[in-house]
Amino acid sequence: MNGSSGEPVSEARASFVDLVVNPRAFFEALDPKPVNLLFPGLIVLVTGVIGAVTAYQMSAVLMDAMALPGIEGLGGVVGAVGAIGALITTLLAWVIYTAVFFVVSMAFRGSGEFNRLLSYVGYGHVPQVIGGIVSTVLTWNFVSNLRIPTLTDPEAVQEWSATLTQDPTMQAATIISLLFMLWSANIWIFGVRQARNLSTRDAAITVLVPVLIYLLASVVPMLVT
Amino acid sequence: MIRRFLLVALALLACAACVSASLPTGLPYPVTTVTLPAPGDETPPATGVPVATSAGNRLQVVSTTLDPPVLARGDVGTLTVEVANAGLSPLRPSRATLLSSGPVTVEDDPYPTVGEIGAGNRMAFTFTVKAGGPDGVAFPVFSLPVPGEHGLRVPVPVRVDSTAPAVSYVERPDVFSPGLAETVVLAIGNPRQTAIDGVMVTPRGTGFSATPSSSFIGGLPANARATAPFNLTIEQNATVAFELVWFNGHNRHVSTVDLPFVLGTSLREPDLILSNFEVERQPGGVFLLTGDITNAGLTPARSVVIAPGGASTPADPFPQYVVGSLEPDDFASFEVNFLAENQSSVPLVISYRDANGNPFESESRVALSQDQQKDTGSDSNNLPVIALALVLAAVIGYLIYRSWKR
Repeated sequence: MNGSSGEPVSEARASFVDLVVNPRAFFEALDPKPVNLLFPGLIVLVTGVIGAVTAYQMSAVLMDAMALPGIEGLGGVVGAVGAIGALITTLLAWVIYTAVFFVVSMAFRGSGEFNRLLSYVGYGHVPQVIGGIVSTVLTWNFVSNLRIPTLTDPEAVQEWSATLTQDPTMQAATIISLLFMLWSANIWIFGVRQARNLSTRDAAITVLVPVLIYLLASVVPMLVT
Repeated sequence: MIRRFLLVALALLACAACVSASLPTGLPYPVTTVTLPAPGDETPPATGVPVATSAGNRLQVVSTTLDPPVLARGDVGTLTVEVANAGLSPLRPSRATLLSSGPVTVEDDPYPTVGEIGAGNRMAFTFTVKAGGPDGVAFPVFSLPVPGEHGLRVPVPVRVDSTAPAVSYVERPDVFSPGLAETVVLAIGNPRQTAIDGVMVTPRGTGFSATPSSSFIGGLPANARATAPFNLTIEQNATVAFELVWFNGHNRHVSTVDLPFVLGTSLREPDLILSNFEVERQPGGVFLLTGDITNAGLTPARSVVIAPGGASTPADPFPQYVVGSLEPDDFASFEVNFLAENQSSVPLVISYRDANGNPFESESRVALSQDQQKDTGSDSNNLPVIALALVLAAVIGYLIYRSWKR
C-alpha cells in the first residue's frame, strides 16, 4: 500500500470523524481490513433517500398545484416516481463514479480490486448526506413560500419551471450541493489513492477530472440561463 | 188511358229538366252549381247561418261565407251567399240584394237580374261589404224576391272586431349606455278570433340603430304569440316607435308602440374590483403583482383580462392575465409581471365584455412602496441562504485544507 505522508492512524481510529477531518488516515487504517460494502452501501442509501425526499416534495407539490388537464390528483404518483428515480440514480451514480475512477486510474497503472474502490467511493458520500439534508431544508423552504400560478398549458408550465432555476434560493441550493460534491471529491482522492495504489497527484487527477467535468456541466446551464 | 197520362207527365218533366240545364251561365246571371242535399241530410253549411227554410218556400240559403271571417273597422270583405232551389220546378227570382245594417255597409249594387234557378240547383251571390263602427255583430239582410212565389229574406251575421295585435316588452334594459348595444325583445300576441297574416315589426325613429332593421313574423294564428328581438344602440335620449304591420285578409293595418329610451349607467352591469395586492420585486427589476378580482355587479363579466398600463412595461411570464368569465359575487386570483422603474404606482387596466359583447374598460392603481423599488427578492429574502452558503464554503474549505495538511 501507499505510504502515508501524515500522522499514522491505527485501525481503531478509523472512525467517521477521521473520514471527515483526516480522510487519508481513515483509508490507511481501513486498508488492511477486508472489503466491507455494508457501511458504504448504507451511506449511499441514506444519500439516495434524502434525495428521494427532496424529489418527492418538489414533484408532488408542483404537480398538485398545476391544473394540467388529465393529471389532476396525480401529484402523489408523480412524486413517488420522482423519489424512486432519485434513489435509483444515486445508487447508479455510486457505481458509475467508481467505474469512472477505476478506468481513469488504469491510465496511471493503478492496481486494486473494484470492490474496494467501490467501498471507498461509498464512504466518500458522507458529505453528500449532510449536503442532502441542507438541500432538503432549503428546497422545502422554497417550495413552501412559492406562489404557484394556475397553469393549464404545458408550455407555460415548462416556462415557469425554467424560471424556478433562476431563483436565488435554488441557485444557492445548487451551489451548496456543489460545495459538498467538492468535499466528497476530496475524500475520494484519498480513497482512490489507497484503493488503487496511486500517488496523491495521480489520484487527484483521477478524481478531479471527471468531477470537474460534472461540476461544469451542472454550473454552466445555470449561468447561461 | 191512365198509362198514357203518366207517360205524358214524365215527358213534360224530362223536358223541363233539359231546359233548366241548358240555361246560360255567364254574368249577370249567378252560376248554377250542384244538386241539393238529399232529404234528411242535416250537414251544416260551410260557414255562416244554417240552411234557411220557410214553410212553402222552395229557396234555401245553403251557406254564407265572409272573407276575412271577422272584419276590423275600415276593413272591406267579401260576403258570399249560396242559395239552393229545393223544389221540383225552376224558379226565376227577379233580383238579389243585400241591405246594409248598422256598421256594415254594402259597397256593391244589387244583382239586377238573377235568371232561373233550376230544381235542385244552387246559385252563389257575392257582395262587397265594408265594416264601420262600432264593433259588434251586424245583420245585413239578403233578399231574393220571386214574382208570384215566396221569396227569400235572410239576415246574414257579420262580426266586426277592431282588436289589434297586442305588443309587449319581454326584455329591455333598465337604462341604455351611449353607443352600447342592448337587447330589446318584443312579444306580439294575436287576441283576435281569427288568424292574421304578414305580421312585421319595424323600429322607426332617429338617434339609434337597430339590428335587424325589421323583424318579419308572418302568419299569426288566433291566440298565438311570437317574439321579435332587436339589438338597439342608442346614441342619445330617444323614443323608438315600433311599427307593427299586419293584414286581415287583404286589409293592411298599422299600429305603433312607442318606447322611450333613457341614457344612463346600468345598475346591473358588472362591477370589477381589485383587492388583496401583493407586490414583489424579482431579479432584473421585474415586479410580480398578485391580487384578487371580484365581480361586485349583478351580471356576469366575460373575457376579463388584466394588464399593467401607464408607463409600466409588461414582462414575462405574465405580461397580462386572462381571468375569463367572472360571475356575480365570484372572485379570481391574478398575477402580472411588469417593469416600472422609479414609479410610485402602476395602473392596472381591466378589460371585459358584457353578455352582448360590448367592451368595457376600467382602471385601478396599485402603489409601489419604496422597499419594493429595491431587489428585495434577491437581497433581503435570500440573505440567510447566501450566508449559509458562505459558512458552509468556509467550513468545507477548512476541512479540505486540513485533510491535506496532515
